[in-house]
Amino acid sequence: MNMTDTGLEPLDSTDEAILRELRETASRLDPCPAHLTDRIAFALTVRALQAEVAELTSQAELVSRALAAEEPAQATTITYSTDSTSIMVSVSYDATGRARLDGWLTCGPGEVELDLGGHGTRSTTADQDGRFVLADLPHGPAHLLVRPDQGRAVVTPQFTL
Amino acid sequence: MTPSPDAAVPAGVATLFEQGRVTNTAGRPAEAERLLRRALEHLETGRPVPDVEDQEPFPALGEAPAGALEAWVRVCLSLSTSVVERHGPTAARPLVEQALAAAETVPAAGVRRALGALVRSQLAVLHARAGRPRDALAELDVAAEQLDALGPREQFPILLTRGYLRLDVPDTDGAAADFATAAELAAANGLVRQEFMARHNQALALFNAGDLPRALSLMLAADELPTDISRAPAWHGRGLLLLEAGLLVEAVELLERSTEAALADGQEMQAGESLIDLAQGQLVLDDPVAAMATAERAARALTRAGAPALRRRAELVRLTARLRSGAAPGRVAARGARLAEQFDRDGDHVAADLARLFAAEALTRLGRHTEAVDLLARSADLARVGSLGTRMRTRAVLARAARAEEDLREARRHVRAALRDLSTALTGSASLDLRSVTVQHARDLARLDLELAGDGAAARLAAIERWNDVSSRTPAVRPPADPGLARQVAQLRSLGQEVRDEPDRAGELRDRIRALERRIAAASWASSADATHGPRRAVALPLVRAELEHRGATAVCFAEVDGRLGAAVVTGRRTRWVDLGPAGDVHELVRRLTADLEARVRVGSGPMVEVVQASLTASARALDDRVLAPLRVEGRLVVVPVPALAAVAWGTLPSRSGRPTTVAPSLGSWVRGAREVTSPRAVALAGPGLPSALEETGGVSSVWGAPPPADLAVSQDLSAGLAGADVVHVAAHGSHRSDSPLFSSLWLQDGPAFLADLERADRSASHVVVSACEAGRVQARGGAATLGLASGLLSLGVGSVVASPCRVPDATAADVMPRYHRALADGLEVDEALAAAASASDLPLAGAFVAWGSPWSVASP
Repeated sequence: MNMTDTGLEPLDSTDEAILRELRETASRLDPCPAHLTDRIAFALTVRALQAEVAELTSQAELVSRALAAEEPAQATTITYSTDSTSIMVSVSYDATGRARLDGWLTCGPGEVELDLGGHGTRSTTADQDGRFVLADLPHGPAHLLVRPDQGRAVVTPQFTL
Repeated sequence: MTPSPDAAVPAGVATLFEQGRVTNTAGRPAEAERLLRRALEHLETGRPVPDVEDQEPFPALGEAPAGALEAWVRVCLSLSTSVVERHGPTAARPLVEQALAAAETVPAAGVRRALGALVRSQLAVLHARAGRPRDALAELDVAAEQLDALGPREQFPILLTRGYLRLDVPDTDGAAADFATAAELAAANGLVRQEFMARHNQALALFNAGDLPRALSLMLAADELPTDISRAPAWHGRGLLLLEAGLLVEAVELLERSTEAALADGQEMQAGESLIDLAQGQLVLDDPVAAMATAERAARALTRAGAPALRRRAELVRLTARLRSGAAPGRVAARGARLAEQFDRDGDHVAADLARLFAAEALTRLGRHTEAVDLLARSADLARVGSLGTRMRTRAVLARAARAEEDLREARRHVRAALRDLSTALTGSASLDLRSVTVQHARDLARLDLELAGDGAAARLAAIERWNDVSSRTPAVRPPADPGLARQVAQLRSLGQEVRDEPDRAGELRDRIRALERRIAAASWASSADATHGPRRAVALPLVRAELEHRGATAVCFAEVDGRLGAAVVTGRRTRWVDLGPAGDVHELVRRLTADLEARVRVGSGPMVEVVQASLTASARALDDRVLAPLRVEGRLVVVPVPALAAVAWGTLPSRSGRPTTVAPSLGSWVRGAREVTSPRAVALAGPGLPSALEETGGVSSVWGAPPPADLAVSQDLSAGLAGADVVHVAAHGSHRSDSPLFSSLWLQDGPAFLADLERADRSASHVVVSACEAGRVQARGGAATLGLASGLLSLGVGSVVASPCRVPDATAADVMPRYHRALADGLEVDEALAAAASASDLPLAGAFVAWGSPWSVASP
C-alpha cells in the first residue's frame, strides 16, 4: 500500500481524529472573527436593499479651544460618507446612561431607521435640513439606514452606542 | 460547662485568644470564631492546645495571673463578637448570658467588677445591633461605672461603643467626646488599630454635628495610620461624608469599594450598611432603578446577617426608589406606614419617624393631606429636629396640607420658615452638600412658594427670587493655604502633562491620576472655612428695579410650574408674567441647540458645514421663538435661568445677536456684585497648542497698556494674575469635567490649572475672561446645584466672568476677544462690549461667549 492509495480510501477514525485536531488548531490559531455571521447577514440585507454602504470618514475640523481629552460624558461625533451623501452622528448620554443620537444628513429630508441589533429598530424622519434625533436608546451595537426622499438608500457600518 | 474558679489557663489558650481578637478587629469573623471556639474547648477540658505556644500569659484583669474561669468569660465575649458579625445579635445572646452568669461566680472582687463591666458592654452591643439603642446605652452606663477596674485595652471598646450609641440617640457632642477619649487612650498605649477606629468615629461624630471639613480632615489623618484593619467601615464612613459634600461620583465609588471589602472579609452586616448608603447615593444621582437593585442587595445581605432592623432601613430606601421610579403612591405609603410600626416595635424611633415622613409625602401626592398630617403628628417634631433635608420635607408636607385646607397664611408660614432654615444652614458652610440638599428639597418648596403666590406677576417674581437668591448666595469663606495640597495639585498637573506628551501612557497613568484626584478632592473639602464676613443680605426688589431702570435693562426670571415654563419679565416700572408652554419641549430645544453648536465646531469644511449651519440657525430660531419672542424684550437683558437653560449661549439666538445679555443666578446677586473699576490692571495669559492664542493675548495686552506676554503662561501666572490684577484674560484650551467639576481645567504651559487650584488662591480680580471652550458649561450635582469653571469662579467671589458654554473655534475667539477688550476699555459695560464685539465678527459661533454675573465697567477718568 502506498500513500496515494491511502488517500483514496474512506475516512477512518484516525482521519477523523486528525481532522478534529486540525480544526481545533485552526480555530485556536486563526479563529473565525467574532460576529462574522452577523456581518455576512448584514451584507446580504444591504445587498437586498440595494443600499450604498457609507464609509467612516474623518471630517475636517476647526481648531477649537477644547482639549481632545477623554471626557466620559461628552458627545462622540462620527461622520460616514458615500460619494453622494454624508451622515454625521453625535452620541451623548443622559444622567441614567441612556443614549441620545443627534444626526445630520447632507441629502436633506428622509426616513431614518436605527437597527439596534437585539433591541429592535427605531425610526424617525429627518427634517428639511437633514436633521434628526433619536433619544432614550439602550447601549449596544447599532447601525443606521437612511432612505433620502431623493436618491439611493445609505447604510452605515455598525457603531456602538 | 464552665471551668472551676481555681483551674489554671491551659497552655496555648492565651495565643488563640489574642489571635481571635486580632482577626475579629481585622474584620475576619469566621476565622476568629474558629480560633475562639478552639480556645473555649481547651478551657473547658483543661487540656493544653497542641502545637500552639504562648509568648505571653493570658492577659489578666487583676493583679494575679488569670484563672481559667476568668479566661472562659473573656473568650466567650470575644466569640460573641464574631457570632454577631456572622449570624446577628440573637444568635450571640446565649453566649453573653452564660458569660454573665459565670462572671458573677469569680471569687476575686476586682476581677469580678472588671468582668461585669465587659459583659455589660457586650450586652450593650447586642441591644444596639438589634436596634435598641437606649437599652444598650443603659447597659453601658452600668459598665462605665466599673471602668477603673479595667486596663486601657478593655476600657477602649466601652468608650467606643458608648460613642456609637450616643451618635444614635443622638448626642453628638457626647459621642465626639467618647471617641476623642478613646483615641487618646489608644494613642498613649500604642494601640494603632484602636486609634484608627476611634479617630474615624470621632470624625463621624463631628460630621453628624455638621462640621464636615474637620470630619474629613480627621478621616484622612486616620487613613495615614499604619494598620491592617479592615477598611470597609472606614471607607463607608468617608463615602457618607463625600455624599454629603456633593462629591457623588467619588462617594458612590468609595461605597462600592467598601461593600466589596466587607464581602471579601465575610462582614455581611457591614456590606449591608454600605449598600444602604450606596443606594441612597444612587437616588441622589437620580438613578432609582440602580438604587432599587442596590437596596434589594442590601436587604439580602442583612437578612443573611440576621439584622432585621437594618434590613427594614434597606426596605425604606427601596420604597423611596420605587416611588421615584413611578410605583403607585398609595401602596408605597401603606408599606411605609407598616415599616414605621415595625421600627417603633424595635425601639428605633428615628427610623420610624423617617418612615412616617416618607409615607406622609406619598399620601400628599395623592391629595390625602389629613392622613399625611396625622402620620406626622405621631412623630417627633421633624420640622425642627433632624437633618436640614428632613426639616424641609416636613415643612413641604405641612404647607401642602394647609393649602389644601385653604389656610394660605399657614402654608406661607411653613414655606418661609423653611427658607429661613435653609438660609441659616447655608451661612454656616461653604460646602456643596447643602446646595444639593437645597436642590432636592428646596426645589419642592420653591415650587410650592410659587404656587402660593397666586396669579400676580410681582408675587411670583418675589417667590422665585427668594429661593434663587438664597441658593446662589455664596458664603464668604475661603479655605486657608495648604502646602501639602499644593504639592499634590502640582503632581497632578505634571501627570496631566505626561499624558499629553505621551498619549500612549494614558492607560498606565489613569489609576494614579484618579487616586490623586480623589485625595485632592477629599483634602479640598476637608479644609476648614475661614470666615471673613457674615452672610450677604438679600437685595430688596425696589432696589433691583431701580438698578434695572438705571441701566435701561429688562430682567427675565424663568421658572417651571406644573411642567410649564414661565417667566417674570421685570423692568424698572412693572412686572409681567408670561407662560411659555410645556417645559419638556424647551428642554428638547436646548438639547438640540447644544448638539448643533457642538457639531458646528466639529466641521471645518465640506458640504456638512452648510447642513449643520442651517440646522444651528433653525434650532437657535426655534428656541428663541419659544422662550424669548413671547417676552417681547428689545434691549439689554438680564437672564435668571432655570437649570435647563443655565448653559444656553444666548448670543447665538437671533433676537439677542448684537444685544447685551447677562446671565445671573439671581437678581439680588446681579445687583450686589456690580463694580466700576478705575484704571484697571490687566493680565493676559496664553496657553499652549492654540495657533492664535499669543496673537490674541498680545492684542488684549495692548488695549490695556500692559506688556504683551513674552511666553506661554504657567499655572503660577494664573494665580498671580487673579491675586494682583483687576482683569484677567486667559486664552487656552479648556476642559469641563462632568464627572468631577472640581477638576475642570485650563491648559497652561506646565499642565492643567484646575478649579481646585483656584479655590485657595488670593483674589483681587473682579473680571475674568475665559477665552476657552466649555468654561461656561455647568454640571448638575444632585439636581440643580451646578459647578463649572465660570460658575466656580463666580462662587469664588469673582463678580463678573465671560466664558462660553460650548466649544469655540480658535480663530473666532482670537477675532472677538481683542475687539471685546477695546470696547471694554472704551467704557462699555461687559454685556454691551461683548455684544458689540460678537456682532462685528462674521466667524462661526462669535455669539457663543456669555457674560455671567454682575455689571462691570471701567470708570471714566
